[in-house]
Amino acid sequence: MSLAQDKYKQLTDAATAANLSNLSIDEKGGVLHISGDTADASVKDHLWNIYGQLDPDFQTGDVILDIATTVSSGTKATVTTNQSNLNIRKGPGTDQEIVGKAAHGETVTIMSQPNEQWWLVRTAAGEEGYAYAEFLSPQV
Amino acid sequence: MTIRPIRTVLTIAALSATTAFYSCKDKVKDSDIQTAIENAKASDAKMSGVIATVKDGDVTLEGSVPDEATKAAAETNVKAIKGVGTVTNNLTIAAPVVENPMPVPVSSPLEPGVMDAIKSYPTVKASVKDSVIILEGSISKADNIKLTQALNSLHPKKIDRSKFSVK
Repeated sequence: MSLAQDKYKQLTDAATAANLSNLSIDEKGGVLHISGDTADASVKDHLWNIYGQLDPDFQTGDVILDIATTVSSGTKATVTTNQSNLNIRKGPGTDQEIVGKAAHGETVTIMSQPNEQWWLVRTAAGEEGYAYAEFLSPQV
Repeated sequence: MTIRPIRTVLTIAALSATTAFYSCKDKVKDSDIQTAIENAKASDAKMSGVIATVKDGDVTLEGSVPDEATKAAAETNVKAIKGVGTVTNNLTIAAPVVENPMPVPVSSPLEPGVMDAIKSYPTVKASVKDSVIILEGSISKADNIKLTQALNSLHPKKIDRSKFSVK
């Protein structure tokens, strides 16, 4: 039996039912790769919850789950850092100059999503630049 | 029979002595010219293939240089050396042989993304090998979710957590 059919059936079933665009389920080198796009951050969270239950702390490392939240320009997002400010940078990389910041819990506007890791955002104060997407949760 | 006037004889003798005197003072030793050529070569890496032989002030240049400009410069430089007579330029133009070129390390395209992802977590170390991300150190449960999401978005083949702990 494969990983998809066996250990992770609940996860692959949920991914299929979630109406993701560009859904891909593939098993390669003993690792189950699941990827897809959603506009709804709660769909992403739901799938990650299931994954975390089936493999606590993701310790086994036999799944690569990659759900991208793709939204239209102008969508608001909440800053989800632990407590620190989120740096807004001149370019998409941590080596890039910091041009502003957004506080934990603050709402920013997503201008564009050049890739999965870095999104172009604008703060209420009018600062515009790239922020690390992992710390942004698009508001539905 | 012509008898040279004593005045002429003395003049010739004086001139000879003078000429002989100037030659002794002006003649630069071949070894000094060789040293000067070696010094000139040292200032330009492109001249390292030049082999110079000096005999009685006359210089022959042989060997190979990478381009026409270097060949011409070698000749000009040698001619400017004091004591040099004729310069025979037999230098050939040949592309330099690159021996044992340094292998260019191919950095994984995953690496910059991985470094960005772990930047917020000082207790986490990561390396990349053959598109596998190897994690070391530790992280909290809450941060583990965010870190894993960020690393997965880079599309690695696998994440090796054998040396990694979640607290």
